[in-house]
Amino acid sequence: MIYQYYPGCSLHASARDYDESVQGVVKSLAMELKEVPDWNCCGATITPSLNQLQSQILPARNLALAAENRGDVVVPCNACYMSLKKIQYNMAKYKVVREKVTEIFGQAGLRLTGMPKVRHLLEVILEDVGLEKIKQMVKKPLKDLKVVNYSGCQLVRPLGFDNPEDPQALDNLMSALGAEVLPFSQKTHCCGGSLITTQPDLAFQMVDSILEESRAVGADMVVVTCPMCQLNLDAYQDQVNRKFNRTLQVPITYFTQLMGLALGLNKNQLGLQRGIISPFKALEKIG
Amino acid sequence: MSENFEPKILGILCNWCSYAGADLAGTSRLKYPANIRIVRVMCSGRVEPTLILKAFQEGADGVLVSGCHPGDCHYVDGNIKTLRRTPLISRLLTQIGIEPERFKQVWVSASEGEKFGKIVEQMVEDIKKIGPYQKKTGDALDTVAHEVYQSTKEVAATGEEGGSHCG
Amino acid sequence: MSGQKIGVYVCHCGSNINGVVNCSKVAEEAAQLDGVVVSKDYKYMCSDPGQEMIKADIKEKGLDRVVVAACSPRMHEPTFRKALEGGGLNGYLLEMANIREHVSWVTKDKEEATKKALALVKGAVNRVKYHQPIEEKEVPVNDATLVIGAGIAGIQAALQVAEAGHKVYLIEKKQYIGGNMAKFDKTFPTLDCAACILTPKMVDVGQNPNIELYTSSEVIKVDGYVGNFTVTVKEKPRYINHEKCTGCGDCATACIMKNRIPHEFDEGLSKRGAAYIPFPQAVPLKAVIDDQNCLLLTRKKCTLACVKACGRKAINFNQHETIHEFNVGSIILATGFDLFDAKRAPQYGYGRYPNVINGLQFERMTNASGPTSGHILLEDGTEPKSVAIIHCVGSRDENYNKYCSRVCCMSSVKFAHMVKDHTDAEVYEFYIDMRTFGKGYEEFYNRVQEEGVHFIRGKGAEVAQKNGRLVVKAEDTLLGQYREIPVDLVILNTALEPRVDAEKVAQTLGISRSADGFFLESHIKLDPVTTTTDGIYLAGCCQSPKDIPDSVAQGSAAASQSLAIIATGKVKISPISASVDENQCAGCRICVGLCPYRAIKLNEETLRAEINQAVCKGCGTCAAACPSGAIKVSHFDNDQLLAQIEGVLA
Repeated sequence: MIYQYYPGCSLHASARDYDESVQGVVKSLAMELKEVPDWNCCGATITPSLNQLQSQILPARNLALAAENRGDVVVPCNACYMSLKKIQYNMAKYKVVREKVTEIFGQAGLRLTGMPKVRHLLEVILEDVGLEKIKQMVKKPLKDLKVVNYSGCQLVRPLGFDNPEDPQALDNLMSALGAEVLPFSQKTHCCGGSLITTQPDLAFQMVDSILEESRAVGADMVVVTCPMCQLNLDAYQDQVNRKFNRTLQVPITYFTQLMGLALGLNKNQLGLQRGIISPFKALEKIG
Repeated sequence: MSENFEPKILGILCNWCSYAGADLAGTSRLKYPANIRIVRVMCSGRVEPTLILKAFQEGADGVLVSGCHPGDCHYVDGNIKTLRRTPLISRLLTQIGIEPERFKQVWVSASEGEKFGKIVEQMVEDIKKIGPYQKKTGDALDTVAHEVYQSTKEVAATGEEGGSHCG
Repeated sequence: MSGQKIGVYVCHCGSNINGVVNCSKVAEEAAQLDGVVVSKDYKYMCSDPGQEMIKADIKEKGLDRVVVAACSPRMHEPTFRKALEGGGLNGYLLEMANIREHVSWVTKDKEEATKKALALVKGAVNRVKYHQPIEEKEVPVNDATLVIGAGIAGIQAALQVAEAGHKVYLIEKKQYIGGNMAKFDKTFPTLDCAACILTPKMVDVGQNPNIELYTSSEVIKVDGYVGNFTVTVKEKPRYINHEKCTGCGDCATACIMKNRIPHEFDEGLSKRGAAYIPFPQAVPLKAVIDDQNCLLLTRKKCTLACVKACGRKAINFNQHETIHEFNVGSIILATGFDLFDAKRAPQYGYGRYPNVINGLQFERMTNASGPTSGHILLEDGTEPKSVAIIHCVGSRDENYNKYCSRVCCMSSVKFAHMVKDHTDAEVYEFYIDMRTFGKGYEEFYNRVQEEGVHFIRGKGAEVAQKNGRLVVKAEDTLLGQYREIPVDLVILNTALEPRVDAEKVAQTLGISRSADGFFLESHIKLDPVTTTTDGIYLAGCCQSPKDIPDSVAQGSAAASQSLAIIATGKVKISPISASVDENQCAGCRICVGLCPYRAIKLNEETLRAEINQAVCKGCGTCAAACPSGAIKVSHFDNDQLLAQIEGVLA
């Protein structure tokens, strides 16, 4: 199957580890990802609060570029996924948005020729490859590895693909790979997003409650599907520890990294060494 | 096609579900286009091709037939007969040069007032796109309608027996 | 058709129609139509002067057909038929044009509306020319009544009909009667003990000679029509001979599955065996064998300890399903509600945290004959020090049910009182709006406020576990603050939902359901007890969520509907039916297979189809399919429909 790949800015910068593991995994699954040519930032969670129009044009341009080619648009980042889906929804629903976008596109010589389907990488892996096939492909089960799955908020709401209160996709995938999935009530709680830079006190509390519960249930690591969640939970763990007087050292890994390990890929190709909290000690369990 | 084309649509609705659903749209004060004229029958199973052909003869631009959802028919399964008759009517209409978009058969329950309004809205929009129904050259509507009507009379006159021609 | 004298009456319905449709213009233009001799518009046609106007015109101007352009015929057709009859005309010489529900209420543009109204009037005038007088059929009424569901609403209805001296067949799916109310402890606002007020009624049901009670039974088929229904009921085997069983419970004590199966009556808070007594006050007080868990019935292997223990030899594993058939005149449907499964809202932790329970579980807990003998206890057997009650779980929520379940505010206030009464715990209620609308309800709410319960205005958003304790998170909208309140026990007051098999029941009885899934009443305000099918009435929560007083009131109302048709002794049934013109029928038999009521037969001698008028319901499916047009449907014949189509499209 051929897909159009919209990596988003993070995967080319702070989340290179995610990108590396994505490339490894999709190759194993015989999925072909072709990067959307000349893509730009999706606007993320910040632009809507600064400039509404910009926050509509940025993702819409990516869709216009993608519409030139065939195949669904696959997005690994929760924030990009939601930005792209949101503009699709708003353009379908509100005539004024549709008209404004078309007008500005006209000035830039762009045309929206179609509406490609936007899907999260996790969604594509589960729906197009399927758990059964993945189970058969597992070479090194993640036996004894205790994980909590943190889907984050933008994967599931408001336009996501899984149950917004108790998402199942990541749980099912991790179980299929052989990991032990622990109950986790923080699955879809916000990680603080960009508030980590503007209102750190608030965001630190949010990060802390996620990390603290992962410790309380006895998880070896937190599995994520979003570079923003990963950054907040991993890079700020030290500061959060200091603020709340804790000594947590919880590795935050991308689902594709664990998937790569289970499918037998070399751990050096999966960017695992790039995590600030190293996952290697926890990964000793699976050898 | 005129810019101000307002299609005329005939709605034939069953008494128990769809007519009640259309009533509910009213009691809920939901607004939908005034293009539809509703005729009530007891069951959608009562709707025979003659009624639909008559509508087009009288200048309708579209016909909507609506009954209870399958399983909910007040008369056990009259709507299932409607369901079976629908493709035959569609085919007949296509054969005589009437666009398939002009005939629609739907299910609307007594609690689906909103759905009824939406269906009318959509149908008006769809028919506006294809324009008014005009009897075209070679359009067989009158002939067919006449034949359908006459055949009943002829059968009656010959008084044939025991299903000999019904194959 | 010449020489007919048609009167057209256009109703303003106050401003309901006239506010959008230009009624006088419609009347003026209708006056020009062929055959119309009188055309008037009037403020309220359904009022006395309106009806008198029609009667007078029939007499003075010799009208022989009448068109009333007003509301839906589903609303006032019977009213105007009577008016015609008052004037000496057959009621079927009336045609109504629905210019309110189908025109004024759904159209914005006044000109468009007036045009549409006139089109409908033209259709009606065209149609009425072909109307024929029809005599309504009257049939005798069977004086027995079927009541489906033996909760408080069904019990009330059954007792009332039975006490008036008429036969009642009371059908209950469970093995015992009493429904959900039997599980309750106290009832709001008077704190009457539920058992104290329900048990006497349950005993009455068991003892009333006019009531034939069938438990473990379900209605599987309903045939016929008002006054004369034939109902088929399936009674499941109970493997207990009721004549012999004394309800002593020896079999329950002996059952080797004892204490291994979650007890439904205690909402899973206690365990029972495969042989058990549902609860101490059960009617009938007989042992029950659970065929899903009985080792003999599921694995064909058991020590038969129950059989050995039973001194009366009442256990009989050779029982089979029995089918009963009853003839009744009317049916009262009182099938109640299902409780919203709180697992569907995982944010509240139900099923994950043992100390998160639902309202019915709390009722069982506080009930003296319940699993904890009336003590409010946590999973570990200790008393809670702090309790949260969350309103609107599954109600007033776009994700689950949009409607308000109506009873939860009051039952939550009652729960708070019970906690205060039984323990020293702090109580926090999380509510969106407080709805205490009934008699004595607001007073009860005030009283509980004074007992020191904390009322927090904000929907409970989530129940989490923090540092080993439950935490309820909510936005306190009065303080404008986000709050996290640590508690020991959380009671989720969950929505009342339509029974899971409501769709099947609606199809079996041929009635409709509203968008929320509850059974649909004929008119939400003026006729909340009858369904759109004559002779089938609704009582209790199967129509919409309601509390005990309202369920009882509706049970009584349904009973009086039944009694009213029994008292009349006969009912009018729709005279609309199909008939075959022998001269046109070719005997092809197409119609025979189409009739859902098997009303059509081929006369073997004449080789023509014949329709049994007593069985025909007038759907007209046969007429639509008749290749020779030999079948006529009274009041919905081709001449009438074709003329109407011509009129509305003109």
